[in-house]
Amino acid sequence: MPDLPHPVAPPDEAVLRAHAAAVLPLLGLAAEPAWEAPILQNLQVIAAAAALVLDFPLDETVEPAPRFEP
Amino acid sequence: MSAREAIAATLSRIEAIDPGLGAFTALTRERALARAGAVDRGEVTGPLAGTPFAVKNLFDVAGLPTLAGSRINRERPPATRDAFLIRQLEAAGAILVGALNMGEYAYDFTGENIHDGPSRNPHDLTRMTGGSSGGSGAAAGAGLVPLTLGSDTNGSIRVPSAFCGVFGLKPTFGRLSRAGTFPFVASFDHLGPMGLSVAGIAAAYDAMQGRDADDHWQADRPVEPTLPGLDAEGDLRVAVAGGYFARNAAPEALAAVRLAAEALGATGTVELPEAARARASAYVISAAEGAALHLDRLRTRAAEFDPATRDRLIAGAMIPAIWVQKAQRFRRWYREQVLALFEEVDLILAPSTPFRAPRLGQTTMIVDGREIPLRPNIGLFTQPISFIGLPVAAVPVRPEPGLPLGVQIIAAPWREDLALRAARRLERAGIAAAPVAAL
Repeated sequence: MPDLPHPVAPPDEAVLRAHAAAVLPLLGLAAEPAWEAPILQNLQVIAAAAALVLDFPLDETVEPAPRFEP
Repeated sequence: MSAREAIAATLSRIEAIDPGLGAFTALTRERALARAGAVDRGEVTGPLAGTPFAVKNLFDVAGLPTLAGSRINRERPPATRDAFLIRQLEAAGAILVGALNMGEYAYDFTGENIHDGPSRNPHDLTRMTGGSSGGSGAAAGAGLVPLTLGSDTNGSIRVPSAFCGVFGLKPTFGRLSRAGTFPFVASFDHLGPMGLSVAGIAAAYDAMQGRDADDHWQADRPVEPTLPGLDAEGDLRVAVAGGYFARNAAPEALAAVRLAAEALGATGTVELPEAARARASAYVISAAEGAALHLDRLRTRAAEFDPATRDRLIAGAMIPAIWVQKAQRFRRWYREQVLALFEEVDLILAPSTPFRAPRLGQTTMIVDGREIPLRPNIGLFTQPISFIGLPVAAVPVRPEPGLPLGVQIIAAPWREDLALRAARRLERAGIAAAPVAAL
């Protein structure tokens, strides 16, 4: 079915903080304490951009743009 | 003057002026003089014979490590072969004189670089060049070389073209080979020329076309020269981008577009639908693909990155795949909507940047009476265009005395010829010009 046209709010800071805490070790990344705030800030900007994209209804026939030609 | 004397003079001028400008990170003195000697002996000919040029330091230059603006890449072994586009330009007679400063790993709109120092705006050394092809804008704007190469993922040719007051061309995605350059975002990376005249960048663009088996993303297009038709007469259907592209900009940025529109006989406005979402999608994809490219370096050498680059890349590494996939699907939808506009018009005009070059170190900007963060907003008007790979000629316009601004002349895919033809008309009408900065 097509994506539903419902508003998608960007995740709040606590959710993003928890996401970062879980995902960083999964990726083998370690952030020094001084980096944590700017990384979170950047994640918030990305999440806000993603919310704008996720919020847009697209028919399921719309395929991703990249294309591989062997 | 012989080519060798001319190149020697070019190198001397760079050595005299560049310490205060920060455009170059390396000079290729010996090979440049040797090449100039070959031109003098008639061994090298071509439409660009003897023309000096320099390249953003993400291009492979034989004998130099490919820095891509980073500290980490200084440890790379020197490149063993020039990038394809350098080979093409030299085959047409041009002479490489050096490599140029850039924002780290091309993830930048400012031209600032923590490792090499900022490239400085040649029209006001206290101001930004824009980035990430900052050295490419500075070197051309200062007249150190008439031609430079840059890369443009989200605006990195068009932004420094505007801030430094030079012409630029971001060709259609897939037009020019990217082989032999350090990547950033495979989905959006483009390469192109910047310079002091439309004919100059058109000649370079023509010379750089051609299939390269080393680039698996390059489109299978014939060489389509633009120079022969540059001064062709005939109507061009031109419109101005409204809506998103008419908001959040300083009045002078919109005045620059109006000037260009009047000179080109623009007949109305068109709206690129959902441009804000296009920009948001480009933002998400760039962060994710950039992070994926640099993940190993982020794991092992994160402290050696420019903090501004590192923090964005680490954040990008945590993006759920779902977000990227939706952005790529949106890209397909948006492309179809925008391409439909080109059934009615040949060219669409939009500002290159929302404002003139900010001061170095500046972090916010006042636009429409509101204070906005600087870095993410510099590319406000360029990202929705490169997102779908449209060709753009970026032209420098001064609606009033002072620092230059830029106008994007946007064409349908593969119609670089029309964008350059309009740029040439603006140049001939005196609306667009790239006077060399007085240094």
